[in-house]
Amino acid sequence: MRRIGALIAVLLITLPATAQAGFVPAVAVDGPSADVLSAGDVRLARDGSGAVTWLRSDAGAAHVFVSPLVLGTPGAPQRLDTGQVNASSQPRVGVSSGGRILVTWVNDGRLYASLRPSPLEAFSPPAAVSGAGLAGVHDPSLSMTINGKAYAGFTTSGGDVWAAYMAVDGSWFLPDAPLDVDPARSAARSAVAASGDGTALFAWTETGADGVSHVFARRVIRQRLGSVPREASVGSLDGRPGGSADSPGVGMEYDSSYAWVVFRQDFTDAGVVTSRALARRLKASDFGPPTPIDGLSFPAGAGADQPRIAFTGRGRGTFSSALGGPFAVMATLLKNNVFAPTGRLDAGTVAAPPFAVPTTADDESGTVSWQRGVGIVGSHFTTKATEPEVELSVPAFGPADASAGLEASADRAGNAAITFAQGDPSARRVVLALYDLPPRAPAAHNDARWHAEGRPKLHWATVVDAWSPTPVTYRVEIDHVAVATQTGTTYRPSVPIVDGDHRWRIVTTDGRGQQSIGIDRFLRIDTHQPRLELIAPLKVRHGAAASFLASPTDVGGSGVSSVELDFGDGSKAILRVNGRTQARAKHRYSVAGRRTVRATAVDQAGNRRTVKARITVK
Amino acid sequence: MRVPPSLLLLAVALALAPVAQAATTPPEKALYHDGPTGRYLMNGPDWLVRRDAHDVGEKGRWFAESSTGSWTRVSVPNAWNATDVSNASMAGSVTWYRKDFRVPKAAAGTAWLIHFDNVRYRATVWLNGKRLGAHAGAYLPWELRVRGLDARGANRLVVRVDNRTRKTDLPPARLTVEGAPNGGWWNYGGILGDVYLRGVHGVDIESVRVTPAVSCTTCAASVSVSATVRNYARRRARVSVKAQFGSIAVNLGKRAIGAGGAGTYSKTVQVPKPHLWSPGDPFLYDVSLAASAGGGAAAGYRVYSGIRSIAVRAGQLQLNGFPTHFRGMFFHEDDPVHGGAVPPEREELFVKLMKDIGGTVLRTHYPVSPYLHELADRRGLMIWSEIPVYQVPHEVLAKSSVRALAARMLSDDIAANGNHPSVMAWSIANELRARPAGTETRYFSDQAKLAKRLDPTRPVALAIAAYASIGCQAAYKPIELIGLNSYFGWYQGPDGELADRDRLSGAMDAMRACYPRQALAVTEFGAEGNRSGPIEERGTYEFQADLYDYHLNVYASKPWLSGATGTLQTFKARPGWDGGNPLPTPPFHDKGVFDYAGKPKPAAAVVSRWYHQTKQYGP
Repeated sequence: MRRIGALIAVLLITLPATAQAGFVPAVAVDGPSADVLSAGDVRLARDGSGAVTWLRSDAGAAHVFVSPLVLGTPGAPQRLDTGQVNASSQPRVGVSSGGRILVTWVNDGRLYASLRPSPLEAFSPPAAVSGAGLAGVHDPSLSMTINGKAYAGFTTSGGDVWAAYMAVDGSWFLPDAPLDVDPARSAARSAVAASGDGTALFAWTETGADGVSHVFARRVIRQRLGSVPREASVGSLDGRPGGSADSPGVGMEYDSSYAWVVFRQDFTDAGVVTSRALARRLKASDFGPPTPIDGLSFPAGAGADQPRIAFTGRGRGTFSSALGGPFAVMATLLKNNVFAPTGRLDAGTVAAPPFAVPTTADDESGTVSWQRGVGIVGSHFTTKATEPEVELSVPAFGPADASAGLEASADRAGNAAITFAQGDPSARRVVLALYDLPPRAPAAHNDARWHAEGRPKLHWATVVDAWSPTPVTYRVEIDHVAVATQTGTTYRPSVPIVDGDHRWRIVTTDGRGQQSIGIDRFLRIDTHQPRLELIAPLKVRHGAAASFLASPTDVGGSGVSSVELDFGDGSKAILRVNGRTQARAKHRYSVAGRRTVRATAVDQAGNRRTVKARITVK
Repeated sequence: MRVPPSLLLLAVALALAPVAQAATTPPEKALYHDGPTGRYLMNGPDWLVRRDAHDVGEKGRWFAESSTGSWTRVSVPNAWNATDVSNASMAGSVTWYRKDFRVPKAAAGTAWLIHFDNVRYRATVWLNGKRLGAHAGAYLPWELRVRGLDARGANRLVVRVDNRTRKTDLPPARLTVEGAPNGGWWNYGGILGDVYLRGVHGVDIESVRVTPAVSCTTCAASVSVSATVRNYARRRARVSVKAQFGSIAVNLGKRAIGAGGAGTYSKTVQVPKPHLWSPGDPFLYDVSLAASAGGGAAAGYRVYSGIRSIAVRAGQLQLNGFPTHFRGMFFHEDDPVHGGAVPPEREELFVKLMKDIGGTVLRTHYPVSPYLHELADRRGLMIWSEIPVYQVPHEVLAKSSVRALAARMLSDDIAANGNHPSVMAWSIANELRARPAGTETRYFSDQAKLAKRLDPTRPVALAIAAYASIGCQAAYKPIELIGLNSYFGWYQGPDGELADRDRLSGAMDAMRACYPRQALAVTEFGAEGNRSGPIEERGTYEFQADLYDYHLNVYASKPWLSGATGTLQTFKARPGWDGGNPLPTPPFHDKGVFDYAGKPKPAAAVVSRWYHQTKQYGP
């Protein structure tokens, strides 16, 4: 009989020991061209759709371009600030699942927006977000809720910070007043995060009565300002008096009761002013105690700055910061409001401020990307392990400059997109690097029972990989030898598998060639009948006990589990063998006559062997 | 000094004798109107209770114990864990109750039954040390035949109550992700309802169903009067049954019933110009029945009845032929002092609060007390009567024993409460699997058929978690009245789909599109509110009031919506309950517009304004 065992030797291939790293080096979204000016923003929705924006010179002025992302692949670039002659700047993008994209930018001192409600619709013409009375708009921020509403923040030349609210239908509303705690004082640089319930939390820097800058936070509910702005910056940290604070970042859960604000703040330690990166949790209307996210304690050396936060609606977060000297990239993950220990991600090769940007996923993993030399590198990490940094920039594209734009975002699963610009001004590219989550290993059916059939059907769960450009494939391996590669989730061997105690597993491969190896599952085959001998008396007196001896064997098979005895007079017995080679039984016949005794050995696969004996009952 | 042996014996006997527990004779009295004559109230402060946390009482024969040494006095109805908010309390335990009593004077040959209105959850009953029987399941009445009574001396009734819940109970035992006991409301254990001794003089009217039917507001009504009579005599008897419906005499006939057997009598009468029952005019007819047989055997039964029609037509619930837009509240029978053994004053408070805010429907999660049913009849409240098939996991509902238990509870609910005009619908479950599978589909179908067979005059209802993403479900086809638990703007839902309240209106329209021929009502909505604070802070009174206002505004814009019920009052949910509130006060569920004491929160005024301005019934 042709057996699959013979096939295995032919199909033997070498398999990778572990899944491949998920970073995909940068590809150009636009360029190389002297018209490509700078990178803008990138955002991914929970479903993996998204958009990237940048600035490109068109007719001699900087203008806003966008490229929708599908499966991590940029679509055709499109200019959004059509009709605007003067230069645009500071593009921001917000997205939600299903391909809804909102882009804002500054033009002529006002904030504008363009919405694409769905992939089936076009981007709207530029709509003014900031009112005519608000001049000198700059430093915008933007966040879209999972339900398609959005909030934008911006600073005016008058030193006020404003919020703006976009309803689902794309119409914009402004509150009656700025976010400022005291509009008479100078405020700037808002950050915003919008929750699932349609509420946003803004954080900004505002000069206090003491003359130094503080970080404040305030909710906005549609066009209504929250009534209780709260200060995030602190009076002291570990007994060191606090000073100037700035660089806020915000993350918010689906439930707007819970949010995190990160910021940088100076502290005076033994007469020396040291910068620290801190985070505070907002619960209801009050902040919890400050948590350093820089991994430092006093004395804190050159300190830390550049605090950044990436946060999911389910409360998972990646918090990053940069140490000031020697430069280092620090990061920590948050789960259930507990921080993992802050760790250093870079390999000690950072010689300048890294401008690190984090992403995070619901599965408690994250990425951080940063400037290393003239390139951009990234690292993927979990609470258990940090993968070595991987270069995301392509050296052939020229130098990268994170200070001129480096942004990143992830979907719910952990796929991430990172955008930055590469190359000198004469041949600049805006590029997009990816972290494409390797496919997970499928849950394969595990059946430890023995099969009497040489071609049992194997089955496993479907693996969904939103970013795989082609459906994931499953390689079926028996005893670690590939026997089939397919996209379906069931497999029946074309030829019988040789008897024995085998193992099988599935190796999943996505469209980028990334693999995950499933764990071994049982595959036990026994197609042969057991052997059986039966010793029975030829004659027996009725009423007397007749002795029977059954001797089953199943060499090389699954092992005999039982012997069934049919005494030929309507009486039966089942003898459990449990590895023994002999089983005895006694039976008393009550009626005289000729009887046929049948003994059947049954192995663990269900194979049966029956032998007979004739007995005369006197 | 030498002590005489006789004195020694006396001393020993005194030491071993039971500490005397006063045995009183229960008075012939019932705390609510409907039911048979010959009820003797066993409630009162002369019960003893003993906790049995290690479940050793049965082995230790506590049912035969005479000493009162380890027992403490308690008043029944009683929840042993009324004020205990621990995990152990929620998980349940074994508790024993005991009462000594004397048999009321009665004619020779009187048979006796013991009647319990509500024991949660498992009860085993002994009389004078002998086991009478057992029952499992809360919230509904049950009876046992009492044998072995000492007609002249004291009798000792002992009840072992076990409220340790199991996965296959209704409601089912569940655990939180932290491993703590879970549930939608507190697991109060004990004899939570009234206890009666019932004397039967030869024949007993076991049950009565008065079923009015009226097809229009000016039409004559037909009223079906049905009674099941059991012959307790040792001989066959010819039993006649007569009834009075208001001023109309009804002769249900005479027939022979074998010894120990039962017979059903039915008659339909016409009421030419019926005075219809409605929340605005809760007119009740007095109905009495009398059964008699030879030898002085006799029984009586009284109920109030109301003539009204309630049905789903053209996708809307109609009361007396007119679409409803009812407004009401869901609530739990929970008392700060007595827990689930809710005293009449508390039931009256529920009704008062409802009437104060203009509510007309009490949505329940389990059958409520007979007293509250009668209050509702009299005060013009309707009751969404639900059996506690609450969040039963799919794999549990797949068990035939669980579905059989649910069927029994539905039957018992209809039998116990079917005469109340206040009962508007029979609700068969709350928040089962959001995407019904085969098990749920079969459950809905079977229960709907059962409910319609037992009571064709009321709609079959079901409360569901209203997730817009679920889409239309064919499994709900047998359901006439679908209740939507609609927490938009409060809970988050899968992937945050409920989080934004602005999705409420569209989601409701989508639901309507799915079920155009069935009536839809909102059965739960609202937000927690346990403190004053910023309106944007979830969990504040201000936030709660604002969300109530928002929802009720949306509901008012849906003319097809048959009604809506919010949350009446704070109640105990489970240990660690936060209910989505960032600053919760576990175990309290604070979505009610009244606090635990009955004090109104700001949302009560919002609800009152909306409810009073809503035309809930009539043309």
